[in-house]
Amino acid sequence: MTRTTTELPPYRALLAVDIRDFSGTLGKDHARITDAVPTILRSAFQRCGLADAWAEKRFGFGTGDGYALGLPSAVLPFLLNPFLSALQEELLYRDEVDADPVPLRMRVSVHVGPVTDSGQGLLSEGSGTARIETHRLLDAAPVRELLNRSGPMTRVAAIVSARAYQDAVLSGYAADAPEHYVPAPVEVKKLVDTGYLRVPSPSGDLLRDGFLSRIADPAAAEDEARRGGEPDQPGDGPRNAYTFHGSGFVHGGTGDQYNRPDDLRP
Amino acid sequence: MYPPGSRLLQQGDPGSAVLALVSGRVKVLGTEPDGGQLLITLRGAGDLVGEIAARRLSKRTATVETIDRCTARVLSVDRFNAFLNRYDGHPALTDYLVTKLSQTVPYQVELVHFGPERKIARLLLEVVALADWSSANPDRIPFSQQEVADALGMARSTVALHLHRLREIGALRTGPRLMVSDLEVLKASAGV
Repeated sequence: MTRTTTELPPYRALLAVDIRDFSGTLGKDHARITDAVPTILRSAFQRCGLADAWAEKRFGFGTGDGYALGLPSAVLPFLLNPFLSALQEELLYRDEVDADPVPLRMRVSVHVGPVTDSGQGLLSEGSGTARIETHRLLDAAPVRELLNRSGPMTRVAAIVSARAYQDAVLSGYAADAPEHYVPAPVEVKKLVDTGYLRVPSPSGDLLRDGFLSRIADPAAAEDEARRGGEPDQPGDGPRNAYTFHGSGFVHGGTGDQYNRPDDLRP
Repeated sequence: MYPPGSRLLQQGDPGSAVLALVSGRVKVLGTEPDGGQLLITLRGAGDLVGEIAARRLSKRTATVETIDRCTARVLSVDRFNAFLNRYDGHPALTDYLVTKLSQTVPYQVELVHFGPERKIARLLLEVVALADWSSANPDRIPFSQQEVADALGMARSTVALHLHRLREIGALRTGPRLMVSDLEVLKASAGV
């Protein structure tokens, strides 16, 4: 076998989304929901001033219950901030105007890496390991759990690959505090990595117990119990490292005064 | 029971009660330093108003005016909290507040990146969707051109131009009043 060096395909910012519990919706509604997904994404891009980015996408494919697209890598930071909040708001708006047969909630994965890009609109556009990894991340248990453990008002739960997190968040390009992301172990098929969880509008158990289920780790649960059931204190380390200081977590919100149910008791 | 155009809450007043809207739609308005009023959000049957100030016993953070004839139950903060305690409603209220807090920026800021026609279509669509059983004509949008212009921070002439276009494409009925003719056309124009 002769080996020939070949060119690396261009690096692309990769975004994949998936409708939660698509198979749980009525069969007669599947087509309508499937068709709505690219409309939702386009309007979410528009909503946060990224209409051009949507127009410049290198590829975009429906996956039945979701969608995957590739964009110039320069767009990567914007996919995290402001796009994730805009998607949350767009889904809430759609619910307010009864746009969909059922209120939609989405898992989102964000990654960056080399994928094919012939510019000819081939069915194979966006092929490569990075593409596979984007879909694997979307299937990872920690991001699924985020939607299971949040209230119905949390419409978007995202998982960001370690590479995207390093390149766009730690670098400061996304202008998003690294503490807003919670590292979580990812193991899907051959992919073993750390994913970074981000929820623009957390609710339900995510507010009470943090982004990672404590039940999944008895040691951590014990640890919480010892501290008198006070999760989400700053400086807890990676488990429940999500803290609510600052106003960044609710887009347009006014501060941190609504973050803990205990606060509601006068 | 409150007639259309009544002021339920006034920004700056002390907040000591929560209103639960039973029927009818309201506008939540923010007063600017220069006295101008900006639409912040719309709320309808099943929504709470006044919950922010009531919870902290602080001043009202916004003005609330009725769009339709509204029915609302007024609850003192103590009764509201007693209700929450009895039904373990605190987590639900937290979730509600998290959502509603994303609606504390003026409506026009929220929509700033959309084109004028899309902004108008989105506002009209939301007003129609908030209509409840008490509404005699749910397709009717009880806003004047000037009110649409104020809500979106647009010139009245711009609003008139785009309403004309929305009538041309069949989203709205022709005639002096704002009335939805084809909801699907209006939705397409709103990008939903």
